[in-house]
Amino acid sequence: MVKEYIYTDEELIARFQQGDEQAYVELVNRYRNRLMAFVYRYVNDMTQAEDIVQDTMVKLYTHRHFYKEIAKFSTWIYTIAGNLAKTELRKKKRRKVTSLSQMGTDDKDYDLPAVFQESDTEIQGQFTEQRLQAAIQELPLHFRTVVIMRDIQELSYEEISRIVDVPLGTVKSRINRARLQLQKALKEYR
Amino acid sequence: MDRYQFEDLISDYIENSLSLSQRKAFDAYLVSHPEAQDEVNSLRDTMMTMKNMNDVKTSHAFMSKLKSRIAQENIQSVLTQKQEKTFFGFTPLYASIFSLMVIALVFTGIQFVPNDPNVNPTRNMQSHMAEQTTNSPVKYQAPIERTSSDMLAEAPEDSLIDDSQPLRNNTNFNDGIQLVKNPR
Repeated sequence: MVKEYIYTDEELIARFQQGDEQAYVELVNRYRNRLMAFVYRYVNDMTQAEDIVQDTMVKLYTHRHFYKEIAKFSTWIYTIAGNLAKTELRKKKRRKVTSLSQMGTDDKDYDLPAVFQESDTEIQGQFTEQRLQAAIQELPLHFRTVVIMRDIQELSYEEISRIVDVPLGTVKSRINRARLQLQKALKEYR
Repeated sequence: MDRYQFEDLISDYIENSLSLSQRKAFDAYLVSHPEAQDEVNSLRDTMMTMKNMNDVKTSHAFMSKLKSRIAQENIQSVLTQKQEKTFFGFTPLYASIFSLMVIALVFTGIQFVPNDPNVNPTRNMQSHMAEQTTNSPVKYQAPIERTSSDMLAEAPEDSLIDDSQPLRNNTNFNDGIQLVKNPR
């Protein structure tokens, strides 16, 4: 659901570029959860995802003058987050470290929905989601990015094309292929 | 429509973005291949599951952590600005490197200047000439006109001529060549 705001993202970043720090806070509040959802589905690690979103927001602060009004703000911020996430995954791959605990031992509390009195349908739903999340991790990075953006973040094909800097036809094709792979992976568990 | 074309168009079919002719062809394929309809439904379910995945939110400490990081960034940027002071347009690093290079150049140049004046012949000659000029100034003397006989009289005797041996007078060359008759 798209919320109605008084100021558009582009107006806010313009105000921030002129020194209005409150505009920055507003932008952070608008995007932090959206980016968190995107990055978490991408890296599959809550702590790492939050660090990447933090880095994205710090970059937004320090590199605010790099934004030009020719692009949508959302495109710009997703590009930053996507690049940081990709870099992090590459580092992770190099380190070849497998984290046994996704949440870690720190006392961070994340807003995962609390589940009380779970019915069979809910348990089944959680199981499917876990399988889906695992299947997403099996996708190649260029498939993973676009399918998360389209089916979880609900971005338009055009915007995804601009973010990943790939032709529209290629984006559509990648999303279709990714969906088929996910469907195949889920079918094995059904 | 074949299997590959069906798979290529399946997302567009679900998202209702096929052209009319493509849609007709797709529907025809579904009628002729009942298992294809199951596949469409399965893919639609997958898309729905993805769409309804639980929201993931940042932690409650997100904003406070971000604020402290930004405060750190601000301190760092102030420090960086302080460090960016320049000397005659050079950063401190380049200014010190440049100064060292100038000092090294001057030092090397000094090494080429000799301390002993004898080492430099040009300088020696110049100083010598300067001494002559100050101690015995040259006076102009008109050249003396001398005849060739005077010069011959003054010439020393030729030491190569041996006076003990009389000179042979070979000035008569008439007998030098004699015609000889052929004896035959």
